Amino acid sequence: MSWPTLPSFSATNIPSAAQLNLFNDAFNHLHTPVLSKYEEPGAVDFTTTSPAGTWVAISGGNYSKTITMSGGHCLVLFSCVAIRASFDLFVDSVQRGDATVGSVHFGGASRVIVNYACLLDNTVLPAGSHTLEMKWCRRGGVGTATISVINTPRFYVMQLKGG
Amino acid sequence: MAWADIDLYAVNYLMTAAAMNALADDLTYLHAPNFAVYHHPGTGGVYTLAAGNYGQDVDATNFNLTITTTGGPVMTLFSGMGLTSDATTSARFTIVHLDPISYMGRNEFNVFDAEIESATAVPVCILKPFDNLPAGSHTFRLTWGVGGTGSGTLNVVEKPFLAAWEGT
Repeated sequence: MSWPTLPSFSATNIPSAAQLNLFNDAFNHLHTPVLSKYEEPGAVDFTTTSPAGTWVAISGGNYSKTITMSGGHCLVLFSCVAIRASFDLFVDSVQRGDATVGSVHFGGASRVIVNYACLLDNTVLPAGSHTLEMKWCRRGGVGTATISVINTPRFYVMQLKGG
Repeated sequence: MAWADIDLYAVNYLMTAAAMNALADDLTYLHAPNFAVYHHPGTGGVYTLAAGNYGQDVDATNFNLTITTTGGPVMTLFSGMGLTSDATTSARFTIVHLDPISYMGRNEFNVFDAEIESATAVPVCILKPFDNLPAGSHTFRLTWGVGGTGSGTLNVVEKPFLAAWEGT
């Protein structure tokens, strides 16, 4: 349900059923949580040798969500356990962090939990359709980046205030 | 548009145009984002802090957000990358509501939201709600302290991000 434009009343205005129902629609819109999520069900670790700064989809694009906004804002959360990897959020194909290392990364050879969160407001996500995608690449010049799937990587897109 | 108290309706209350418009305005207010964000541009020097400094602002100008609330809870969020000069030095990060109680600077180094002890940069991510805030202006700041013998660093190249918004 989209956000309705609420009527403006004047002194001689008798609210019609249609006008009052717009209030119902607005309450329902605010009350309806809009959550798009992906929690990895797979069992095989993901790897990539994509060089630093060459961003590729995770798991064939499963960490991508297309949403319709109506002037609210949106909370994005991503977490996984990774080795030697960089991650970043792309909003309508525009990268949020650094072109080479992204927003979060870990260059070590041991497993580390990687958390990323951001609030996208209505200047970043004006009303309309938007695609949010987490991408990744190798951190550093050599080796293979790995996502440990047993730790259930996850990607949440929460439209706040009804989106 | 500001939040306004809705009339308390009673039997035989006459629903005036003004009362209807107040209802519409408050609904519109609830739908409108009430927030403040700082997304670092990624340029300039890193933030550093030597051991022995506790409860310092990371950046008193930019990681310092004020929003005017209507009395609801406020969610705050920080995401960035930090490291320490060695694996035994500790950098601790806290988002504080600027009041005389929660500010980490009063030698409350053990009250913190996130800690790193890593000579390799690692993610620092904090998602922290604040409640029992009266309606009005509220300021939220990212603070940090460093213990041990070395120093702490908050990178900027990754474009660290601080946000505060009313509602959870």
